Amino acid sequence: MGLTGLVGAGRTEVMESICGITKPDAGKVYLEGQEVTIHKPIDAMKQGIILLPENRQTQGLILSWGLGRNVTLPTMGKYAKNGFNDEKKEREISKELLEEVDTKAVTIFDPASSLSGGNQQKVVVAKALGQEMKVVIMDEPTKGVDVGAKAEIYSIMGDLAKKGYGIILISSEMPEILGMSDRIIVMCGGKVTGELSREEATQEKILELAMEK
Amino acid sequence: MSLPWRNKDRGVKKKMKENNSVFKRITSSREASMVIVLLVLCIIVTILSPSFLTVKSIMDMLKNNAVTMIMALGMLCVLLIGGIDISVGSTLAFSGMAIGMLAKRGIINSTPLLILIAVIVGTICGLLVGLVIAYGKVPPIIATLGFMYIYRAMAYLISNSEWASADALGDFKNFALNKILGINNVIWVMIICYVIFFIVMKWTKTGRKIYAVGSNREAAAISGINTERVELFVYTIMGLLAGLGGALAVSIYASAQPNMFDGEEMDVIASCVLGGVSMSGGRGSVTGVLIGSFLLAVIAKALPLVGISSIAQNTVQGVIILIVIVLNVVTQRMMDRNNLKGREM
Repeated sequence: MGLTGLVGAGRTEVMESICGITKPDAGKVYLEGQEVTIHKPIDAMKQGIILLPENRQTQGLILSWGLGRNVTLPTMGKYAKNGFNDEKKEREISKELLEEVDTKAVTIFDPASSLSGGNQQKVVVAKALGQEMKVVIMDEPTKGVDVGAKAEIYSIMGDLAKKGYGIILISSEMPEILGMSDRIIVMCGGKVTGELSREEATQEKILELAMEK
Repeated sequence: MSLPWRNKDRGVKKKMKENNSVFKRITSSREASMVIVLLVLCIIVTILSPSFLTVKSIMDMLKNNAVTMIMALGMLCVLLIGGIDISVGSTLAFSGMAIGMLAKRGIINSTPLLILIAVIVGTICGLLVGLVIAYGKVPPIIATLGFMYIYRAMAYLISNSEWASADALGDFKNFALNKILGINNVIWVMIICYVIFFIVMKWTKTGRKIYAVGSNREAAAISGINTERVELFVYTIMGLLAGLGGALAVSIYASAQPNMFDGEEMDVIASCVLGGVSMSGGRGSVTGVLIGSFLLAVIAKALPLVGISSIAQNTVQGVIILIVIVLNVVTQRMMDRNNLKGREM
């Protein structure tokens, strides 16, 4: 599913309130037909809703930390024994995940600040992949990312969708939205202005819905 | 583990290295440079005054600084999450005064029980501070400024304009005089605290969470960490240690006065900062705090030994602290720059 609209249309805000980062004014979240209550990001994660935040530097990663720790941050509770971190297992898993997304980093101890934007985004993706998920929300995953990393992220998204995971892609880039999504929802001024299927969607139709009347 | 998605069919292009290089780890640690500063300082002081480097002198120094050193551990956690707590001196006085009065009135005389009560009083104080900061969203410096006055005033209130002298304390003062295996009880308590904190900060989930919240609060929250709870926990622990410090201080100085440790919270913060703890959070370690509080202790001890008059001591101490911190910041910046140089596209 693609969620688009002009910047400032409220796309990120909707997704952030789904994940419990900001408090929604109104509305309910339904997952697989059941209403779920989410107050904090941890509640969303327990339900399997994973967010890849828009701003990877301030929301996605801890820049001064090594990559491995960044990747296992959301899941460390699962590997810890009696409150003690199982560092060996964490290292193995983060190494595996980072190899899957093929970052340029040499070791899992390299600080996240030492990577370029595209590689940082790959680390954020690896972080999400380590979690148990049903729905992944990707907020502008390819913003400021080089071509190679973009292709990589697209192929990961394709694989995930094939496996039956729900993906919500937020993007302002028309080709990306048109190419990746089966269903496109357009927002404008904080409201949903239209829904298009893959077949009927064109750039013109989307723009028309995204513009204020 | 079962990955939801795998990339093996596309062929993993690169294997990552297993270990971080030892050289890199040593040169990028802030503690290494602090140890050098500490050693140089010790050597200079020993040359100027040989009486410095005796077991008795060192033990005295440790005993006299134990309270500050223990509280520095709590302050480390507080500073790590980007907060600050200037109410610890008052918390210490309040909890110390509480047990002082209990002992004086003869209500409770058992030493372990008195220590326990001081710890509980301190913990409750810290819990209140934490609640106001974490859930009331009051900036830490303002909240603790308020509590600094409140707890200090409460120490005066329960003291009823009296103070507990050595006679009134009875057996309790012996705790700080007795030794186990040749080492003073107070120093044992300090060692135990440092060992516990070293383990917790380095190897447990709790420690990792504290570092995560301090390094990037937003990212930590999005990664599923309950940042408010971490904040509450940290200030509670700070209060607990201040309470423990209160008990120890009463025992060490064999008196309980409502004005004790007035302004000492700055010493606690200074030990942390000297040990390389960043005031903006996320950076610092138990080893660093240990070295930092040693540094502060050695400086305070050395100045009278090398014949600096007592009026000038604070000035010299301040200048030394500033020099060390500026050096520390400069080296840190150089290291960060080197890190960026190695940045790959």
